[in-house]
Amino acid sequence: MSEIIVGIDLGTTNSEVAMVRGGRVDVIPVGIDTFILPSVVGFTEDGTLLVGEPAKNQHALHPERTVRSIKRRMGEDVRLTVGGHEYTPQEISSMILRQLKGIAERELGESVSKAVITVPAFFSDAQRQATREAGAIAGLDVVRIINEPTAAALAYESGREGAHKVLVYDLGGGTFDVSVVNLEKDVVEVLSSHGNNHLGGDDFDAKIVEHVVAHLREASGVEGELAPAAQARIRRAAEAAKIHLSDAPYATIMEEYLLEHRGEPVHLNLELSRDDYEAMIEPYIAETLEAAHTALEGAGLTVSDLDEVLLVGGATRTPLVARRLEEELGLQPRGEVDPDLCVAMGAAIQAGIIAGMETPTVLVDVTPYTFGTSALGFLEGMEYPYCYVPLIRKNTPIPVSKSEVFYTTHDGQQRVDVTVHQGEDPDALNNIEIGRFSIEGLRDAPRGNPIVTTFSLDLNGILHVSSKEKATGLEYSVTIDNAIARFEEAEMETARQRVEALFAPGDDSAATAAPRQRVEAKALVEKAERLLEGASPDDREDLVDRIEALNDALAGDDDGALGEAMDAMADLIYYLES
Amino acid sequence: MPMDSELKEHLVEEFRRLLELGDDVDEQGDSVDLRTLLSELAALRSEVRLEARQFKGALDELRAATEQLRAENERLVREAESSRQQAAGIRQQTERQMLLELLELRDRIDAGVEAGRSHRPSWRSRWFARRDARYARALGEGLSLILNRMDRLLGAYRVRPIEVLNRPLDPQCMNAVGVRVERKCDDGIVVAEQRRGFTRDGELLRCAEVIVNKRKPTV
Repeated sequence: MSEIIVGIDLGTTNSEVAMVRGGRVDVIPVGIDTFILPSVVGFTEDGTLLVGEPAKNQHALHPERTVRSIKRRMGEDVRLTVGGHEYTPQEISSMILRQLKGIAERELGESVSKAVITVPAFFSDAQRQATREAGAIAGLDVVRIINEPTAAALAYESGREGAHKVLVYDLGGGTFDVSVVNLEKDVVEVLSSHGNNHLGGDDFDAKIVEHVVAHLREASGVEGELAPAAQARIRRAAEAAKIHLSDAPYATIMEEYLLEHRGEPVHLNLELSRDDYEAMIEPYIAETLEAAHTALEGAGLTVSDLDEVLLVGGATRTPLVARRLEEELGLQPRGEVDPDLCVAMGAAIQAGIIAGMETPTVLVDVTPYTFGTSALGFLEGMEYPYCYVPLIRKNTPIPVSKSEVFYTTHDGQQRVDVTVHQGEDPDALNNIEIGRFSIEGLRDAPRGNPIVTTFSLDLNGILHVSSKEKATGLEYSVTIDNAIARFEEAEMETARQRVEALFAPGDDSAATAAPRQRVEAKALVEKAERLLEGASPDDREDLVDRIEALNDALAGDDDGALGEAMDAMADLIYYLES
Repeated sequence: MPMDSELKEHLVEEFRRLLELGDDVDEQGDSVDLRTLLSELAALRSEVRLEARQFKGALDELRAATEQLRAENERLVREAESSRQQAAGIRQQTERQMLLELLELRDRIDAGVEAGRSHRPSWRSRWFARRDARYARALGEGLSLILNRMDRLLGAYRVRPIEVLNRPLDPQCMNAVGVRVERKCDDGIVVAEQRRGFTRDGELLRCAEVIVNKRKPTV
C-alpha cells in the first residue's frame, strides 16, 4: 500500500486539502457541504485557538486576536502580536496546516505526516522556505513545494502528450494571477507570472452592490448610509445575482422589507441583465487581459505560441472571462475542473505521483459535444439566418443549465422556430440537428421582443430545451433523450459501415470459418507441446495421443473429426492447466 | 512385519486354487486374450484418471464458485451499505438545502412582521383613517400567523433558532458583523441580532449574524 501524502492549497483567502484514493482525486470536506477552509486564525478571550470560519466570525469583534491573509506576510522576518502573544507568519500558517492535517486524519482514520503544498509562482526562495517551515511546525514533512499554476496544469492533465505552452488564468475572490508555463513530460517550468493582489470576484460583487444602492436611492429616495442589516442583505443578494448570471441572461434581485424610509417599508425588486453586469466589470476583465499579455511578453512568447488556456479561481465562472480570453487569445479556455478546488487537486496528484501511485486523474463528467441553436446573425461578414449559437460548450461539466436571450426580428412576429443542434461549425446547417420546436402566439410587439432559451443537460445525457417569451412567460420545450449516447451510436454505425465496406461483396462468412478452425487447432497443438515438458509421465502419454489425433484430423478434411479432436484436446489442456 | 509360515501357506493355497479355477474358466467359457485385457485395462486407467481430473476440476470449480459467491455477497453487502449511506447523505443534503431556502423565506416574512410592528402612525391619521388602520393591522396579524406557521413547519424538521441576545459571542455559531458601544452591558455580549441563526439536531444549519458590545477600543 502506498504511503499517505496529502496535497494542500494554502491560499491567501481560503485553503483546501485533497488526496488520491483508489486512483481518483478527492478533495476532503472541511465541514458540512464545504471543502473550503477560510485562511483565518484567531484566539478567543481564554486563549482557545480558532481556525477557519469561527476565527472569521470573531474578526469584527476581536481584530487584535485574529489574523487574515497571513500568506502575504510569508518570508518576512517579523513577529505578529495576536491575542497578546507573538507569532511568526510561519507559526500562523502552521495553524491552518495543522487544522487541514487534522481534517484529513479524521477522514482517513490514519495519521498524515507528509504533504505537497502549493505556493504562487512568484514566491521567492525565502517565502518557499517559510512555507516549508510552516509545514514542519504543523508536523508535516513537506515532500515538495509546487507552484499553483503547475498544480492547475496537473489537475487539467495538461501537457501529457508532449511539449505544451499553457496560460494559467487564476482569478479568485480577492487576488488575480496569470502565469505562462511550459510543460514537457513531467517537467513544468513557470516562464513568467503577473497579477494583482487586490482584484477578484469580490470587486464584481461590489459593482453590483453599487448598482443596487444607486437604484434604491433613485427609486425610493433613500438617503444617507443604509442600515448594516440592509447592507448585508444587499451584499448577499449581489453575490447570488452574480452566480445566477453565470448561467442565465437575467437575474432578479428581490429583497422584501429591506428597510424603512419615511415610515414606509421599502422593497427591492430589480432585474439585472448579464449585458449590464458585464459592462460593469469589463474594466476589471480588461485589466486581467492586459496582465495576460504582460505575462506572455515576459515569457518571450506570442499569442500564437500558446497551446492551452486553463481557468482557475471561482471568479472565472463569470462567462465574460472565458469569452474575452477566447477573443484575445484565439483558444477556448478550459474550465471543466472545479476552479475553486483545482489547485488542491493538482497538489494531490503530485503527492500521488511521489507516493508511487499510477498517475491519478480528476474525474469530471463533461459533455463531449457542443449543443446550441441557430439565430440570425453575421457569418463571414454577411447577414445569415442560421448562425450557430452554442449554449453548452464541449467539455462543460454536467449537469448544466445555460440560458441565452434572443430577440424577434420583425414587428408583430408571432412565431419563433427553435432548432437544437449538436456540433461546432459556425454555420448551424453544417451541424447535426437533433430537435426543433416552435413557440406560437407571441404577443403583438415590435421587433426585439426577448425570448429566453434554456438548455439543460443532465448526467443521463437528457437534454431539455425550453424557450420562453420573457414578457408573458409563454413557454414551449422539447426533451431529447440520450443526447450524448445517440451520436456515439451513430458514430459506431458509421465505423461499422466503413469496416464492412473494406470487405469484398459476397464475402462468405462460412468459408472463412474453416481456416479459422484450423488455425485454432494448430494453436492447440502448440499449446499441448508446451505443456509436455512439465507434465507427469501419464499426462504426457495422453498429451502425445491427443496431439497425434489432432494432427491426423488436421491432415484430413473432415471438419467434424477436427472439431472432436479439438474438443478432446481443449478438455485435456483445461484440466492440466487447472 | 514378517509374515508367519501359516499365513504364507494359506495364501499359496489360495493362489493355487485360483489358478486352477482360471484354467477351468479358460476351458469352459470365452477366452480373453491378454492384449485385449491390457488395452482394456489401459483404457480403464485412462478413464479413471480423466474422471479423477474431472472430479478434481469440479471440486476446484465448486470451491472457486463458493469463494466467488462469498466475495460477491460481501461486495453486495458493502454496496448496499454504501448505497444506503449515499441515499441518506443525499436526503440530508437535499433537506438541508430546502431548509436553508425556507429560512430565507422566513427572514423576509419576519422582516414584514417587524415592519408592521414598528409602524407608528400619528393619532391624527389613526383617527381619520380608522378603517385603513384596522385593515393594515389585520394584514400584519395575517403575516404574523404565516410566520408562526413557518416556525412550526421548521420545528417539525427539528430546526431550532439559536438564542443569541445578551449572551457572549460564540464564534462557532455566531458571526460578529458589527460592534456597538453599550455602557450598561459587558464586552463581547451580543446586543442585537441582524440575522437569526438556526441549528438542526444540534448541528449548525445557519450561523447567526450579530452585533456585539465593545467598550474597549481595539489595540
